[in-house]
Amino acid sequence: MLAKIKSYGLMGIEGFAVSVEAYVSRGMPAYDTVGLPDAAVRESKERVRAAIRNSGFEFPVQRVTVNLAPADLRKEGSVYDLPIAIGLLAATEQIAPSPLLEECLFLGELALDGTLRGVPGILPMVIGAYGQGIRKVILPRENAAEASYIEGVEVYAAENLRQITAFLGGEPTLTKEKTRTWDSASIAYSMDFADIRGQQGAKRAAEIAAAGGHNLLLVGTPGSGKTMLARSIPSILPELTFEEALEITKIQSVAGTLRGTEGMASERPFRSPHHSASTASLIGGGTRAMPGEISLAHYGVLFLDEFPEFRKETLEALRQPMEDGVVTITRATARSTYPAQFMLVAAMNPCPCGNFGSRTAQCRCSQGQISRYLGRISGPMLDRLDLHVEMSEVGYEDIASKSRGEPSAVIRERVNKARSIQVERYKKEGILFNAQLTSRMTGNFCILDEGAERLLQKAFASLHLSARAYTRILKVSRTIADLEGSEKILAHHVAEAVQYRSLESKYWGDTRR
Amino acid sequence: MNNRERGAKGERIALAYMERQGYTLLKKNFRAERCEVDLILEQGDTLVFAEVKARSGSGYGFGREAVTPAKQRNIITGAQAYLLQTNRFEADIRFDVLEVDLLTEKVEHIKDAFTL
Repeated sequence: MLAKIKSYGLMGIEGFAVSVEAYVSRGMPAYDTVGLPDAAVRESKERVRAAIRNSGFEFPVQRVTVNLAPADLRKEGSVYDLPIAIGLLAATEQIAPSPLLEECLFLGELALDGTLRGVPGILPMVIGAYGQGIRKVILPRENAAEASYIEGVEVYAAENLRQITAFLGGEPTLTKEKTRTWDSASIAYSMDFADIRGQQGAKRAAEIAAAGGHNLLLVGTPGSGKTMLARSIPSILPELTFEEALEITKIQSVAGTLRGTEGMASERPFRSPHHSASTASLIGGGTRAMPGEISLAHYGVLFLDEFPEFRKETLEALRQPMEDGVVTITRATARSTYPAQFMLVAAMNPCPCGNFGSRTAQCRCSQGQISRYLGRISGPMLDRLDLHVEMSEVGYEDIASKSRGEPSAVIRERVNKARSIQVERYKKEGILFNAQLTSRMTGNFCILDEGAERLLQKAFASLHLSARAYTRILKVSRTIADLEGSEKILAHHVAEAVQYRSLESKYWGDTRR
Repeated sequence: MNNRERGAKGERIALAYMERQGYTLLKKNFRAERCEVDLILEQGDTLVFAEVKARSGSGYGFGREAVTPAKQRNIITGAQAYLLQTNRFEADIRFDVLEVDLLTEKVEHIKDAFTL
């Protein structure tokens, strides 16, 4: 007997329909799984056998062939346990034919006792299946939350195999999950901008970066608050939109970091890998081409503290995804494309000892040491960091002062306003914020008035700017104008944007040019 | 009692047990090439190839442990030869192990002990 069950597979965060075909025939008892299964899929045989027996059914003592179609795409993970078990039960007529068998999508791992276990990647699978016309999904209870955000899909969450077979037999053992509506919950942040003393300039730069999704470089002496500022940035990031939350969740779902949560991302990710991070862990990789830190930071912040301490090739590997917003990981057996639209916040000391340029401490580094240290940050990388800010030691008056700074909630309000202007403006372009503008789009949306034009021309010559730096200044000016609610980009907007490029000549000027 | 007699006694006890369970004997000690199948039985549409393991005491472990992968391959090849000779390809096929305790004459029947 032959049975066909619908399931789903993933390649990166995109999926493909998998038809699980179970064929049971007379002959020498044997069990074969075909259709490019990986080790976890091949091992499903033992889990399925035990689960079927422990659920009170017979495992066929016959020639069993399980085919996962299409046969030319690699099938990974334990998600096929459930469809294989259901297929075998249907093929051996231990469950009666039912229209549900053809309509439903089956996903889930089986424990030996027939209990269902959650699997990673459910959200992108259900979204993909919905696009292919599937409207009913049976999956493990553990994965119910993330799947129930998709409108139009009936989600049935099950605890064990027995419940599902009874449900397919017409018993009401499973009930439809309520469709969840998503809202960006008000999150309690542990860090607040109000607690950062002084550093007005850096705070302003952080606000601009947050509003337009720009990259930020913080240079400063040890203890000047670079790390504290960076860690406070999540508290001023704009609210998530549903589309953004969906993409973030897709990546987390594939990476398997979603388990035990509400099912949908409610805040922007903040990732801060240590500087010993390998290129593959940052960019993505491994034999299965899994997403790396830059993709996990999609629509959020990637914070790289001690920026020059990262390995050179690791930093240089960031360049292409920073420009494109996506990264394609290619391995011998897998190729995946992941979005990586992150806001890079990099923090560094001005020299190895940290005191170069300090007002209070003496720098002990030689000129060579300093230029070698700064030289680890390449020109092309510096070009891609839109806002460069210097942070110096906080004076006594600032530390001791009782008055608190502007709270994050107030700044976030401004950021939200600027962000919604951008979302509205780029509705037809398919982008969400200024940092995503392509150079073609900047021509349409970054209109400079005459004074601004002249100013930029002067700056371009005197600061020896590259073409890339030019477009990036335009985008930052756009954000500064948006924060002010101005449709036109005026001279003082450009002036501020250009000013965030001046550090380059101060620190890197004589080492590079 | 030497080893061969012990084996023969085990097979007698196992066969008697299987016949009480409703199986019919088709062939005893089927040999082909270098393979041997102790008992070939039939019940309904199902052909059973059974390996009998006799033990007097547990000093050498369970009988089922003695059916190693090599021994399994041996039985499978024997089964294939039998099917070829008798043209019984339409049948359901099962490989069983029968553990016989020679002291108590008890039989432990392990159905579907292994597959291809």
